[in-house]
Amino acid sequence: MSACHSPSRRDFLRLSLAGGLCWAASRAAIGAAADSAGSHSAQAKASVLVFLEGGPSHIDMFDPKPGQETNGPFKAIDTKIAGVQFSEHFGKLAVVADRLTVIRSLSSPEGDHDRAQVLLHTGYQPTPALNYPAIGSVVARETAVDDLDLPAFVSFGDTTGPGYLGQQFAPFVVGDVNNISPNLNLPEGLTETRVSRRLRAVQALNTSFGSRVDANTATDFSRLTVRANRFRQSPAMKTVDWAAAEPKAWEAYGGTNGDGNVARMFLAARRMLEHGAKFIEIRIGGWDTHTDNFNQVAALAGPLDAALAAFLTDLGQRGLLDQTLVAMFGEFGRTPKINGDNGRDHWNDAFSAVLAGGGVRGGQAIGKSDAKGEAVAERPVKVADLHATILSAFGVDPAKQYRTPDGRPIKLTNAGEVVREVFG
Amino acid sequence: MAGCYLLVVSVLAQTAAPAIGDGPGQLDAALNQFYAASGITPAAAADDATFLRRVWFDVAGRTPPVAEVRKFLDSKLPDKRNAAIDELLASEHAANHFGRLWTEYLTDRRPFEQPEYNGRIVQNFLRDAWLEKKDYRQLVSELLAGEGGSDTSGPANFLLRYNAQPTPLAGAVSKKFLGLTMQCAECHDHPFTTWKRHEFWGLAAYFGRLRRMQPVEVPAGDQDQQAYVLVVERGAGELRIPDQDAKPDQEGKRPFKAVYPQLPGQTEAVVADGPANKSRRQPLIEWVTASDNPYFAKHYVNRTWQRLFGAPLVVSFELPPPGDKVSAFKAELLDLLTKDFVASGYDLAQPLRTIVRSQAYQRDAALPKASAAAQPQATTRAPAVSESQSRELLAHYAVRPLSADETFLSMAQATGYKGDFTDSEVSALTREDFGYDQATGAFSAVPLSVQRGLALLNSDHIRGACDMAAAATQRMFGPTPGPKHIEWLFLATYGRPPRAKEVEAMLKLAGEEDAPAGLHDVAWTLLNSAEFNTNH
Repeated sequence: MSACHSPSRRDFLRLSLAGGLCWAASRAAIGAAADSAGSHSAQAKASVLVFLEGGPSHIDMFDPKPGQETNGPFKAIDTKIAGVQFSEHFGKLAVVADRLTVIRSLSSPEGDHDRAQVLLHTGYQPTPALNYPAIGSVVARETAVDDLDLPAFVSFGDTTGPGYLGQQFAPFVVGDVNNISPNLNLPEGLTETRVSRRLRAVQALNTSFGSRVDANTATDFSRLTVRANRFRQSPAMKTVDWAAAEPKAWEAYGGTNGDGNVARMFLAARRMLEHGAKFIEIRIGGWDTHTDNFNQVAALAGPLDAALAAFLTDLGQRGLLDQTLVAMFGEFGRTPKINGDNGRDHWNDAFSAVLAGGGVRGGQAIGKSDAKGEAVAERPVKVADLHATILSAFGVDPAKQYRTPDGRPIKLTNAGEVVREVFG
Repeated sequence: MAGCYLLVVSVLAQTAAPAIGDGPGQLDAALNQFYAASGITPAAAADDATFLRRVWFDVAGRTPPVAEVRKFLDSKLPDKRNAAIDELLASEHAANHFGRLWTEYLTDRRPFEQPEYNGRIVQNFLRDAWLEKKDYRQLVSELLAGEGGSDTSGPANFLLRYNAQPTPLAGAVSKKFLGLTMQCAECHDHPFTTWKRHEFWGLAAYFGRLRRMQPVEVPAGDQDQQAYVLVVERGAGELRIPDQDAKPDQEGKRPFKAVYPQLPGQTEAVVADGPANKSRRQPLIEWVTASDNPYFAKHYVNRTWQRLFGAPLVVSFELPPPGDKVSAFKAELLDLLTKDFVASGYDLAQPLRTIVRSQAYQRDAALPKASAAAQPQATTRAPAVSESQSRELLAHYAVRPLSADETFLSMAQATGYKGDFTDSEVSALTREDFGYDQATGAFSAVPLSVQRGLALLNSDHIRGACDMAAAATQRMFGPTPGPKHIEWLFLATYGRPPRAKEVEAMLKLAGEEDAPAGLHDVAWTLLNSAEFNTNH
């Protein structure tokens, strides 16, 4: 089988063996059918997806329509990008807009939450015939190395799974940022000496099992135990009291605004990136604003605006922004028409995404929606194009093919084309 | 001795299996012939303890209880392996395991109560089918012909999983019962097969008269009634879909047209209705379960193989066969096992029974050391079959990590720990002795995943289980750790007695702490080891 000799296949096997996943890999029988990289010079090594669950209102955020009745009560404010305005509730992001590319011409065929969330995560419309992998799983599959202190794909909040890539590329889901993993802490009274003694005893049993029964499996389990124990000790996996540990950052990230969980997720994400995480999803819910849209968006915007702006600045100062692609979007936008409950409903004919870092050329808006924000007017971007663009930041060819466990060749994106201007 | 024979006779009489045939012998003959032709030296037969633990996992989804291990190892009966297999296949454990696995397969979800349907009721239906020895054709016919209330009916809940709607049901029927991906043809002619769009819709139309009905007036706050749905089939009405051949109007919408039932491969839709009171679904059910349907029986056997060994014998019924020797042989094995299944009268347990009774299934995981050493010296030709292929062909057993359920159940079985499983309603319905929700919560993450690793290291479950195990051994054998404590812990977790060196090492470990803590550490060590966490 020629695919066995391609570099990507070899890398995958190396990862599998080293990561202790060789059973899963052989069972899933995933093979890469292509291994060419994207054509522009790739620089992203990690990615953060800020997913605004529920469908954030594009007009009330990054695509205001001042003077139009669809605009609603929010004022539009100038940003660091000449001629590009944001809503007044994103003043901090406006100041760092020289780091941002705003795409204002997304559209999608899905207006149902579940289906659209799958589409925005996988780049494919959902079908019962095949489960497509979340982009976080694809990035983990393409980039992860063994000696990480923490899982390659971490998601704050439950998200779309690894699909046909198999569970070895599933996200490590953090259900509650105030308790990153309940099993990270040793039971009370258990000393490190006792833990080490137990672990040595496990390794001895595994070595014996390996010599009698199956050496690979024994190695896999010994490595897993060591890895899990290493993750337990990794500072990046600890739940941190940020207000006490980094009061200045806590303030800058907007921790004092609301319950502080948005700031906590971004700060934890920063720490995980510093420790080598490859893909982090931060899910922020509440954007399904069918009623009372404006008060709700204003309340949601505060913590998000502060945290994302501080996060980008912080990553920049730490020299991490160039290698970290940050993307923010939700499953669709919201109706330009304001409904009888002062709300906005689902709208998938025009919405926005924000990109930064990882080689993204800041300070630009790509594409336009029409005067009322109802339809795409210029430079349409499909969801598959957005995925192709994110993958290409990593040097991954969006047309690359994987094989599903039953042998079907499937492209990483659904004919997605890289939005070249993003990297300018 | 006479007493022992009596015991066996009574076991066989209880389980009175249908004609077993010589499936296992045929399977072994075919495999041995292939091994000989391909230069494969199969592994030696596994010892009794290894066999018993393996078959308990594959049939009952858990490690065997200490008493069963002792009884089996002490037994001198010549045919004790087959007797143990028959007893286990007829047990509630086997029925529960089948119910769990097939509910997950048929619904693509864990067998929980969901907003649209109750997976636990589907599971209960499947487990009862196993216990009642319902044949597979009957089982599938009942599932597809389902009508009734969501509070009790297994088939109705299966249909509700697919919203009792034509399109998802057509996809589910072709995929779950025939192993075909006709769903692709919902939107376009299938790219890799001959399935056409009209064939998919023809299939869907058989479900065109299904309706979900809910009570019109629900007393406020009555959760049960709010969730209650009745699945019924009406006597008239057709499935209507946008007519792709018609011209779209100004808004881009096409007029609707009725689609009529049509079986795949038929050239014309069946417009005329059948006799009065005959279900619209009946011709479809007859076609799906027909003895000359080339996929129906085969797919069940293929899935059973996959359940045991992680991959099916034939990857796809639709793609052209891969063309290599091993794939072609595996297709022959599937035919052989399918014939055996059909000859048994579609007995649900038959494929499993035939496979686990074979010598091939009962081999060691490790290849013989001598042959492994001899390989490099063979200068004549490269081996025609890779090691992973020879494992797929059962020349040596493929070690696999435990699932979440198997992990939790085995931990519970080995230690007596039940977590905080107090949901008597669930227990009454599914007659399961463990809480799925806990298994899902703590161990759902895949084998070898970090979450699983952390749960094994640090979770409350592992701590509770180790406490129970330590206390149990102290109750039975006294407060001070000795060889008997260690032996029991090995039997409970590994299903085998410890070696002398292992007793020594574990007693040393136990001696580092005070008695309960020391035994706790031994249990923890065993539960975290590769030997416990795999079926091998």
